[in-house]
Amino acid sequence: MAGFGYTRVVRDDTDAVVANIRRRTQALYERARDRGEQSLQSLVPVDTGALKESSHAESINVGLPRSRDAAGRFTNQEIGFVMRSFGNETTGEQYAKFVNEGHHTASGSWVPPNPYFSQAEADAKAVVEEELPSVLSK
Amino acid sequence: MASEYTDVVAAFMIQRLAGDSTLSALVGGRIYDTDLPQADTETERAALYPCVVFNLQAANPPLETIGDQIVWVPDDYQVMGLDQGESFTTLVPIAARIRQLLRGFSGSLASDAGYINWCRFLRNIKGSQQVSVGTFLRLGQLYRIAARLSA
Repeated sequence: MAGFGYTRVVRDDTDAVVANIRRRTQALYERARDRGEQSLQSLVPVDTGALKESSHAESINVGLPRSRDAAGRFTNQEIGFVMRSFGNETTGEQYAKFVNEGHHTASGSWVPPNPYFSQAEADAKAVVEEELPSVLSK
Repeated sequence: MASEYTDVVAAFMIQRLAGDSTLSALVGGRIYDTDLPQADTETERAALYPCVVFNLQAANPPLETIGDQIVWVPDDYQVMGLDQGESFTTLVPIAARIRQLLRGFSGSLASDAGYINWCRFLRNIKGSQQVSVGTFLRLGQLYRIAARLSA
């Protein structure tokens, strides 16, 4: 008995889907980086200005492949970021952690924390936590 | 009913930490919110340490319902024992007791001071700082604490 032939062609869109997710994820991390930088610059206490000068959120290359070069090797894109704060980079004095978490003065009295870095870090994380589900579900 | 979220956590810290006879004995009842009394002389420092200090370290977005009603506010708090000297020996039981009292707590606070939905341990704190008058040590934990103004 003759039957009905039926053929469905399913095209593999994996490359396009992955590229789209990568593009949106990169944009998300850039927004988080910008929020971290904005918070750092607005919250960091300023006396000489050295601590503010040393405090930044910057993109880093963490090696996620974006495309292939002519030889077929993966090229990389910047998709992560790092937040840093040092102190006085000219003199080499590292005091960012003491300002952020509290410290004792030379005479032994306690200076309460000014948690500018912890807050900026939390602000940047909040952007990722709030937006990542929608980035991955689109 | 409490009116301010950081007040809820301050009440939580005082009720749990200062209200515990074991911890109070270890630090002589010296538990402080954010700042410490001035201690610029050796006599003043001997009377102040060891002690416990806690402070708001980072504010996080609140959990909200439709209509902008706040369910809870989950902020990060640094809680640590402070001491002067070269050894952590005194601080170890203090930090251990803090963890026993705070980690995993959930419930109402006395005097209608608010409600703690959860208190989650995030990471340890350990460090030392050398200044002109000697070395100061710290040992404690960072917590994320979800506070509500009422039960």
